[in-house]
Amino acid sequence: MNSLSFLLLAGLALGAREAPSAGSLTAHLKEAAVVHADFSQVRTLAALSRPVKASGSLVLARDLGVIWELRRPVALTYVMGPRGLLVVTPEGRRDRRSAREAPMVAQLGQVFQSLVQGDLKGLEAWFTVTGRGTPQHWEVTLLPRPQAAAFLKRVELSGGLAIQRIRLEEAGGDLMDLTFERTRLDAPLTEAETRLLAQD
Amino acid sequence: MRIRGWLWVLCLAVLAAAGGLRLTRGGWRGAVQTDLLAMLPDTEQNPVAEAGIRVLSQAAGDRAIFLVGGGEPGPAKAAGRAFAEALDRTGAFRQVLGVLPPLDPGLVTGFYAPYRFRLPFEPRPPALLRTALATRLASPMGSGPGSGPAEDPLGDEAAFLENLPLNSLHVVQEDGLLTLRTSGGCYILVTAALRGSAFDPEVQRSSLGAIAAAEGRLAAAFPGSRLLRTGGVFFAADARERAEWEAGLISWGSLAAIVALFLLVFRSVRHLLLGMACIGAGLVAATAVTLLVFGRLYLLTLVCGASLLGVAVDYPFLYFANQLGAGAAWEARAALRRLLPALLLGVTTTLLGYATLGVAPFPGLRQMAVFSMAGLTASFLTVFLVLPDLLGRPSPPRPALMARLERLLDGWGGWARRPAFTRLLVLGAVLMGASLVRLRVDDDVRGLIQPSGRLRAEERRLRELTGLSGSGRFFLVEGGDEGQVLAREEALRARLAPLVGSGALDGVQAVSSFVPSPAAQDLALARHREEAGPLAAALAAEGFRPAVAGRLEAGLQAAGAHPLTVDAWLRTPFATPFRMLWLGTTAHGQGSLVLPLGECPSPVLAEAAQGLPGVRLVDKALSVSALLGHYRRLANGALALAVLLVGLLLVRRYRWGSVAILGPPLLGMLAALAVLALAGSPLTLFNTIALVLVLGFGVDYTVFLAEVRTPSTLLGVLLAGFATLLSYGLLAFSGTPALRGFGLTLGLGVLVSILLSNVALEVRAK
Repeated sequence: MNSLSFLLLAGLALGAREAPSAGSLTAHLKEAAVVHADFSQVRTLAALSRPVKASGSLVLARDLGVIWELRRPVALTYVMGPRGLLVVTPEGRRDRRSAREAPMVAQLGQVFQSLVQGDLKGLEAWFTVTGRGTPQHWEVTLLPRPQAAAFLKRVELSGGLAIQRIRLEEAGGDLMDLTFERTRLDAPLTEAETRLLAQD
Repeated sequence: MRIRGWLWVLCLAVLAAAGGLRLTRGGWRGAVQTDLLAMLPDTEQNPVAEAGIRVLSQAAGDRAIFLVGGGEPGPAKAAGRAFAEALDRTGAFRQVLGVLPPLDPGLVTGFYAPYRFRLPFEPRPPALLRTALATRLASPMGSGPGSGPAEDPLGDEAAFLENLPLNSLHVVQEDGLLTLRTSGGCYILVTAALRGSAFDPEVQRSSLGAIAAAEGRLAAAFPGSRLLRTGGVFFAADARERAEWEAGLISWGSLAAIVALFLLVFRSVRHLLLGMACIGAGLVAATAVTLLVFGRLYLLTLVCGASLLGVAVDYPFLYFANQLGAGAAWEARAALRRLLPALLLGVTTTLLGYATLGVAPFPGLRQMAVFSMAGLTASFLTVFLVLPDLLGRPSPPRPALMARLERLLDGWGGWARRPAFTRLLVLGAVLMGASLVRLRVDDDVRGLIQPSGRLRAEERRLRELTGLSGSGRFFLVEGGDEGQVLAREEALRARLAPLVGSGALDGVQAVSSFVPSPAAQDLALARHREEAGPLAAALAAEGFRPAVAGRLEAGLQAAGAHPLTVDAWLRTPFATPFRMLWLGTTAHGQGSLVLPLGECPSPVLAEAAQGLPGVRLVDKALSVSALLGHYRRLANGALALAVLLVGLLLVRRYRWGSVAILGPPLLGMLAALAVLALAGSPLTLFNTIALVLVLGFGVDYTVFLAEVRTPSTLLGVLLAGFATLLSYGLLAFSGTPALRGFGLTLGLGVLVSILLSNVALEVRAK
């Protein structure tokens, strides 16, 4: 199960929408059909003697899906949406896993869409969601329900006007920290992004 | 009554008692077979394939599946929980699955962990190992399922687990409920395992009663909630209900008409009772013989058998009409002797017609043939052995009726002498013949098995929503041992992969998706061992701790001793939904079923598997349809042969007059075909069989009129024809397309045969 990516998307969507107790904190983000941001990722794994760093940018398009463009340490683009998962290499090689072949990914896309559309109840199928703080500085904690507990221990999201950090704690104790910067709500989808999201 | 009459009655009583003994559990209801599959022939040469068909139909048939809710998740879940509890409380089900105990998601990963080096994976060149490691660590997908980066640094195990077709249903577990979120609302999946076969009338009664009660409670407590259902028990009960309703309609309809005819024409309770005795003897003998031969009655027989009423009454009608015509000169036994040649010829042609039904090794058709032949024979024997003793006195004369019949005979017979009439017939025959170019054929078995529209719509909707597969087709994979079967499955899955990729198939369910073949496992292990050296270097370069490579090495050493076997997998709880796929030891070695999920046409599937050893697509509906087509062609041949044989029989007696004897039934058959062609209805095996019977009945009428050219014979023919027309014509109201076509063809053919049988009046025997 793509639990981590699922959480990631869930977190982003939450940030872009509305945390349960954060009121109208992100009200102005609600209208944003498209969110662009840069991310940096640090994974701390027991099996490795040093943390693993990665960075890139992402595009979150309401109803269409997510483009996760990894630039370092390898260049690779992941497109996740209702039709499935598409991985594109810099040389243009495409590896597609359709919703039919990978129902888990499809489910992810469906849940994700419901999240983007503000259906927070969808999240509660997998987690108990609690939020606190002020619109200028809020925090949301996701605790997995039994079906997700084999993979995850805890997820924490925090942000202000935009989402800033996600911290995932895996069942084995490994950590993943994501930081978002340069969040832009005004830029429309480029033609290339639209094509990628269409997954054709 | 003479001794032979009593002997015949005794004979019937013994037959009835013997048949009654076959009615054991469940009585009359238990004697009715609601499993429609049972009346279809074994289509497979290979007994293992037939076993597979039974396994699948049982797996689909022994449970009822529901979707409850359709609104907001909260109320839907409450409704689902309440419905499951209400079902469970009735005690009518072995098990109700609605509320699940918390499932341990580590079960699957835990099972595969010891075999991680034996699971198939996509190899990569050693030079790309570092990139692969880096990509995996940076992936937004995280570690995925399985053992984590230390034990599975390249994610091969995670990829295998992700690709397991475990979750082919679109449901997820929420709050212990199998939940389905759709654009149309939230549904809860509830399954109820029956306490026995879906075709057991007792199981049907208790399950459907319990479901109705639970549904009532659901509607009261959650008025907005919807309930979708599917399962063999609903289809079986629906088929029984409709067959019983149709049989009731036909028998009561025919009976009412027959009683009315008796009262109108014979005006005698004695005749009515004797006529009923003949019908009763026919029905008792038909049912008893059928039970003795087959053990159970198919629903098809129930419906079609009800039409026997109208045919069984033919012989008493002819005999009584003769009595009415004879007036005071009536002598019961002498009259029978006079009628006997015509009666015998008539019963023989009709029995021959029914016998053609039984030529095909098709249990459903054979039973219809046996039922009809036994009933007709018993009715005829009752006329022959019992009636003369009880009809000693002449019946009161009906001069007015006879005079009217005389006039009808003259007028109607006179028509046949006019050249214009003959020209009209020829023109009609040519026009009808020309319309036959539009006739098309259809051998689809669904004409024989047609569940109600509401049930089918509900099932389709439920399958769409859940992704549940319902098709009865499968690939049968056979091999000498487990390893060969699994390897052959893998070859098949490789051929089907493009169809899944293009969306033609939703997916493929196979044991080898869970248990790779020994060859594939050995290959995976060899590849891992080959990769071990370069991988250790790549791990070090990417910053993995030295202990990681060491543990991987130790794991690889140990992996050789423990191959993953089907037996081990079959014992896991997550294998439960797939256990039926493994047939295990068969007559030919080992066998398994591979299920193609989705609507892909069978010929495309068969084409994809072309040439694979030990693999064959089995599609019961398609095989039965092909068989129906085969028998339709055979029946067409038999029909031509029957026309020829009857023609030869007639030529000896009537010379050129045979044209007039055979003409009316032939024109009746032609008219029925022309109507089919003009209405755009296809020709099926059942239409052809109906045509054979039109020949049998039609020749009866013309032979009678030619042999005994009296008003009373005309009366007998009209009465017999009307009763036959009515009882078979009522089949036209059947919900089963095959029976509807049968009834329409037969009714139309008989009608035209009677209307034109005046041409036979001019024929004189040699």
